Amino acid sequence: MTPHPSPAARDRREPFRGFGLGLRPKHYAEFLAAPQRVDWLEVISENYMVQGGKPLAMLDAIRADYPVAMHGVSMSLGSVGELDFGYLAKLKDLARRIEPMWISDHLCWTGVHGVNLHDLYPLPYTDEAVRHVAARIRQAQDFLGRRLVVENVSSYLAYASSAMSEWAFVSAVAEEADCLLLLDVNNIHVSATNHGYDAREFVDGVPAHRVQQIHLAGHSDLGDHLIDTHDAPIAEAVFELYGYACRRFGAVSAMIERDDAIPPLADLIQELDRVREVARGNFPFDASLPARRAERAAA
Amino acid sequence: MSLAALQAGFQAYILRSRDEPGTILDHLEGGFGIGRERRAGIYHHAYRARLREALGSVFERTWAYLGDGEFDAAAARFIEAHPPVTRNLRDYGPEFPASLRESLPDDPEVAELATMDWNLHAAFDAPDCPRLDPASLGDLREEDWASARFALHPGVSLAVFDWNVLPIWHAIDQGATPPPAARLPRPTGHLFWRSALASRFRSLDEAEFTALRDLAAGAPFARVCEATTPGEAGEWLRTWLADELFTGLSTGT
Repeated sequence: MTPHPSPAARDRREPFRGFGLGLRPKHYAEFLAAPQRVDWLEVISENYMVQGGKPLAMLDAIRADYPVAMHGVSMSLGSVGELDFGYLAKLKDLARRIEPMWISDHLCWTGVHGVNLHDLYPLPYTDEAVRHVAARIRQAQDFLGRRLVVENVSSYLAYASSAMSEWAFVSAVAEEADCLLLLDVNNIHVSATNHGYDAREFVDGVPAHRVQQIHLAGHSDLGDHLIDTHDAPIAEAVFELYGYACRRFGAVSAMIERDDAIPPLADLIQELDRVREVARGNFPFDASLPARRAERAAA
Repeated sequence: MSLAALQAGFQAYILRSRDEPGTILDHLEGGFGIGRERRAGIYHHAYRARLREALGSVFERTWAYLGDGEFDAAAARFIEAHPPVTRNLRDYGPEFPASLRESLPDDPEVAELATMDWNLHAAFDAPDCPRLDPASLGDLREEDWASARFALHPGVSLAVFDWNVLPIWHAIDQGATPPPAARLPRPTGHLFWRSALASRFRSLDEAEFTALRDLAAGAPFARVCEATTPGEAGEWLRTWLADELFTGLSTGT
């Protein structure tokens, strides 16, 4: 079992690493051709959990120039039944290969009884679910030999059995599992809109010392609900919520996820500059990070 | 309701037709202007849309050939019958060509085109293995050649096509109108492999196809040589080595 932290060891987060982007195949060539104004990259773990070929070769080459975080979508931490240790072994192999800053996945379930539905389903916010998912996070952490970073999902449904708020659930799981958190600010906005709560209450309600990373992304407005599509620029309301999160959490590594309608890299870097601007208004940071990295690359 | 029952019930709802929601909706909540049926329906739809997108990405040429309407219908039939069992969405769909063969019996070239798409995808994702260094053949003693067996790279596959799917594939790849489907004069073997990180393919004449099929089944190179002239066998071997089809060489029984 992962021991509970002593008060002195409470804040065992990775230090602030700046502002990143999701690495997408469309941008491989540009990342290889010249240093880019991006401090670090996040990869979808499953896209590189293959045994060979171009994706891994590209990742190896790009990893030489950028710190990388691994972000998975299939650990299914919340499913009942056994954890998939075959999956975890492959994840660990990839981690050994690319030495990520950290490994994240979602606070959700993705299927049961041998089926994987490839979607991120919310858990009911109950004590039973807290105990269950926290135990599995601990198991996964023990197997991987590192703390996991666990992300809040966007959701469209609520369970009648839920007995607490989502942020109370997220906090209880993080405390019980002694894991870190990846706060997806867009997901908070989407879920808050879909379920009619104040997104700032969520931000206020989670333990700040566990927030390792922040996700930003775009969503689609379908009139009476929002869908987390990652196919558009970050919405103004999400930038506002990000500013609020910066005031509460201070310097936390943040990145933009874009998975569909992927624009040229230059557009995303411009959007990342706006993220930096919002952060700069709320906490001091060393803006020379990417420049120093570029210098190293040139040397 | 226990967590286990909730997950089993919701998964069953996702996998079934939306017309048979079962009792799971009783355990969900509506509110804020959206009823629970519509809320659950967002996930019901997203499951199918995501798998459809995954199939469209792997079977890109098949999709272009069929057009949106027919491909969507074929994908929808396949998705209902094949809930994904792998953690990686990249592995979804190896049975799709067979499903097309069954559902489109009057258009057999479609399943062959889909086989091409899948074999190229599988070659792309195949494991990295050290390739056989052609120079190592120089170390082989004369008597070892009788039992020498080549190990094929896991990205190598063979397929036999009855239809002109190669010109169809090339036309789609170039954004041109594909030629009408036409039966080939005889069934023709095709080779798929990966070289320099890219998936490749070519058609084979009958003798080379038989030779590669035998090697893949574990036959020694000497048996391949018996079926042809030494000149031709040597020519094939040079090409196969240059294409990096082999990962190793063993001798003895």
